[in-house]
Formats: sequence, C-alpha cells, structure tokens
Amino acid sequence: MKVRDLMIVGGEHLAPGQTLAEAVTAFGASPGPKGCRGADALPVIDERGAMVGILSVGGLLSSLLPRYMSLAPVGDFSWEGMAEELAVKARGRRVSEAMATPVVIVHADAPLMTGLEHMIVNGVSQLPVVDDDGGRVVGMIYERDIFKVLAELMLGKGPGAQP
Amino acid sequence: MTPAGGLAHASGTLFWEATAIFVLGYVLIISEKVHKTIVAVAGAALVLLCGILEQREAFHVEEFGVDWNVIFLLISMMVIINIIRPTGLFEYIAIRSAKLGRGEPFRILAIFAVVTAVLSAFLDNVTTVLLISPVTLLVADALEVDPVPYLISGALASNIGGTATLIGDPPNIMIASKAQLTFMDFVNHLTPVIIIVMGCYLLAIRLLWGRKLKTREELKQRIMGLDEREAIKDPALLRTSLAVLALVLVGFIFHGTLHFEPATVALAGCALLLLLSGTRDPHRLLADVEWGTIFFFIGLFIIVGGVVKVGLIEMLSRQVIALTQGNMLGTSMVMLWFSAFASAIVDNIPYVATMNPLVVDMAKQLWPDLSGTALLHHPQLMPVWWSLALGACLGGNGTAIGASANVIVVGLAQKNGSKISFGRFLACGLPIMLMTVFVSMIYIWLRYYLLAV
Repeated sequence: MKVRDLMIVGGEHLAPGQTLAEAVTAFGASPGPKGCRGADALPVIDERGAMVGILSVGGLLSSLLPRYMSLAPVGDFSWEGMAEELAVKARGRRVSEAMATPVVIVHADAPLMTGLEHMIVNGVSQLPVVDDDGGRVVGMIYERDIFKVLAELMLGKGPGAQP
Repeated sequence: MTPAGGLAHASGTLFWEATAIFVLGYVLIISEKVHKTIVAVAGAALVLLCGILEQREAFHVEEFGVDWNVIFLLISMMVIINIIRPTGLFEYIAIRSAKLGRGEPFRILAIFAVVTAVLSAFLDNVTTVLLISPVTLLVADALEVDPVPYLISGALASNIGGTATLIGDPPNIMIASKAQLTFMDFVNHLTPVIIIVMGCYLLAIRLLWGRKLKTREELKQRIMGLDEREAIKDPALLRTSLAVLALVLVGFIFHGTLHFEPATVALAGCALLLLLSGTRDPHRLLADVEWGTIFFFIGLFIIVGGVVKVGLIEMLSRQVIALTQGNMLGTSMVMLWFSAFASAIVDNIPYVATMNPLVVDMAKQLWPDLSGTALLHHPQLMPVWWSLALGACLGGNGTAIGASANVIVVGLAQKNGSKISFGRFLACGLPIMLMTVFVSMIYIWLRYYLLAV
C-alpha cells in the first residue's frame, strides 16, 4: 500500500501571516482522519507556494503555554481559568510563531512503511504528503488512518490478510 | 632583556605578540563577533604556540597560568546545583516568597529581590536568575502586571547579592584566590556594605516601581491559592542536599582556620553529594556543568598570564602608581569607579583577570621588601582589593551587557514576548549602579580611611 492510498485530500492551507483564530477556522473547515471532521494539522504555505511549516493541534496548544513553563518545572502552579485566558490572549498571534519547522514530509508514492517510520522517528501523528515533482502538498496522512488499516490486518481482516 | 621587579622581561617581539593577542582577544570578546569561549581558547593556544608561555607555566605556575582553585570551585558548585535543581527547592522558595508578599505586586518584587540577593550570595548569579525568573514570570502573569520590573530587579539584586561573599560572583572567587583571602574575610568586609546597599536598593525600587505595580483583589487570590509544597519533587534528596549545603557552608566559614582552599571545600561537598544522591548517571550531572564558562576562564588565565610574563601588566601598574602617586585612598577610589564603569561595558571576568596581577604588581612596587601574604594583605592594599571587588561586581548592573545575569533576563524577556531594550535596562540599571557604587565609596572611605578599622 502507498501513502497515496490513505492520504486525505481537500484540506485548506495556512499562510504564515494568518492569525491563530483564522487557523482555527481553517482547521474546522478541513477534513481530518477518515470519518472525522476537522483537521489535526495543516501545512503552512508562503506566497511563493513553498511549504514553510506545519501547524498541528498539538503545536497550537503548546504555543499557548507561556515560555517560562519550559524553563522550570512551574507547571504545577496554575489558577482556575488560566488555560482559557491564554487561549483568548493567543487569538491574534501569527501562525508563523506557532508552526513547527522544518516540516517532515512524505511522498505520495512512498510505501506506507516510509510514512509510518517518519511519524514514529519524528514523534508526529500526521505528515503532509507531497507529489513527486516539485514538492506541492497534495494531502495529509494521519497516524490514525494507518492504525486502522494495520489493525484490520492484525485482526485477520482486510486486503491481503492471512487468517 | 632587562630584569625589573624580579621579573625576567621577554624580548620585544614576545612583548608585542602577547600584547596583540591580549588586545585583539578583548576586542573580539567585546564585539561578540566570535563566541567569547572560542576567543579565550584560541588566544590561549596562540600564547603557547608563540612561546610566550611554556605549557608548564600555563598549567602549573600560579603566577602565569590557570588558577585551578577558581576552576574547581566553579565546577564543584555547578555540580552541586545540578544535583539540587530537580528537587524543586528553588521553585518552593520562590512560590513561598510570593505568598509571603500576600499577592501585593510591590511587596512580592521586594521579597523576590531579597531572596534573589541571598541566594546569589551562595550560588552563581546566572543560576539564581535562571531558577527564580520563571516563577517571577508566572507571578507577574497571575497578577496581570508588567513582568519587566521583576526580571530587571532579579538581575540587579543577584549582582548585588553576589558581591557579598567569596563564592557569590566569579570576580570575588578570582580575587580571593589571587589575594589569598578567606570566606570570612569577605563576610567581614563585603557583607556589611552589601546589606546597606541592599537596603538602599529596596528604597530605590520603591521609587522606581512602587506606584506603577497595581493589581486587582481577585488576582491576589491566585497567588494565595498556589501550593508551594507541590514544587518539592524529591523530599529525600532535598533533605540530603540541604544537609550537604550546610556542611559546605560550615566548610567555607572555617576554611581559613582549617587551612583548606575554598575549592577543596567545594570539591569535598560535591563528592559527598554525588555519593549520597545515589545517582547512577554522574555523566549527566557533569555534562551540565557550564563548560563554556569554564573554558572561558581557562583561556583568559593563560592570555593574561602571557601579558604578565612579558611585563605589560607591570608597565600598566607603574602607570597607575604614577597616576595616583602612591596615594592609597586615591587608588581605592579610582579602582572602585574605574572598575564599576569598566565592568558595565566589559565582562567583569576578563576585567578582574587583568586587574588581579596588576594589583599584585602595584603592591610589589610599593612594598618591594615584602612578599607572600605580608604583601598581599598589606593593610593599605586591603581596601584596594575590596574596591576592585565592589566596583567589578556592582558595576555589572550598569548596562544590559554588564553582567551575565542581565543578558539572561533580557533573553528571557524576549522569549516571553516582553522586550527589554538596551535603553530600558540602562534607565534602571545605571542609576542603581551609581547609587550602589556611591554607597560603597562612602563605606570604603569611612571604614578604611576615616575610622581605619
């Protein structure tokens, strides 16, 4: 099976200058893993069409955390309503500040194994899929969708299964 | 070759080579074009390659080479902190302090300043600022007040507090080693003035920020709702660490009487804590030592050793004596203010590395018949050492680049989205520096010249 067979197409792209509020809207308007509404991550494309980063739900949430929390173990200290407040404050922040770079990508015609390996090694649960010429983003592949296919095989179902 | 002052002078070429390496090295360090550690190591290599110092002199001769007392004191204290840090002790202290301030923004600022100063007297300033600042940022967030006064005050207070003891700030460690002064010498001579300076500092920040920091009643409850006990991650290791720290402190207090160098005390404490902590991975604790800083010291000692050997420092010390005409009060005052302004611009570590041998040379010329501690501890020389220490440590407050702690808080502010411009730091730092050095000047004049006690 190829990455192409599992990738989700039709998601929106983000621009580095967009706000996080706009990004959240784009997440909602894009398809997620098979059967889910709402993307878990979207590629960030600059005006020249080059992919400059990826914004995931995890990346967006971790950008809400104040930086000092990563400098000392002060995470146990918070107050009622802190997370909600941080979310409101982050509304106007730019996508470029929250996105992850460099982006790990996978080619559409790569074997499924390559996609899986890239996710595990880089600790991400989705990858942007690019076409073979030029690296244009054609879709996203999600860990959850790979899991579904492989889980079927474990249960002895699905294509090529050996009971 | 003309022998002078007991030093064999090198040939003209070596003199200029050593001077060129020294000057070029300092220019590069100030310009920040190349990382200071690389400059220092490269300079040291050049000093050896040019034959200005033999390797034996650089490694084994106290007068010209690496001061291993400084190096091992620094390394040992860094390892001790690396072991204590994960216990959560510092977060505990910081949260506790914030609650002691009952959520009042200025009270908290003042308490943080005192806590930072006290911690800095025993720990490296950068470490203190790195440990306390995250909690001050959290508190500022909770109270919805500008975090910048808390960050700037953290750096200023840590530079002031660090001046109080032998182990508080690298310049003091270097001066103590060169002048063979003990921990208690620093406690007797610098701690009193630093307590006064700290009192003045608290008054100054009250004027500076007292009215500006305001918060709402309900936000104060956020601070009071924090539970500092949650900070303690490893109570058993914390108890062990505190016991060892107490032992180390006792060791420092008595090192003079027991005839142990401070580095011996620190190394023993470090070894004991490593043993008792039950760590199976000393590699990580040792790897976290700030090796960049350590090699910066090593390189600097060798570069400065080069200019000491070729006679540049001796030449400069003659100039200083000519300038002050042997008036020791004048020398102390010049030393204090010159050190303060120099340290506000240049890193105080290379500055003190250069001034240390200069003061020794100056003493040799003033009292040619004396040697050893009789020379180093000449009653008329002591105020000069204290002036150097006070000027070099307190001067660091003058600008955003004057001390490593300042550079750290500016970096932390930037990362947290509240920029501290060079001008904003200067507007707080420079008046504070002038005030603290002025207080020190009065102290030196009063204690060593007017009352002569």
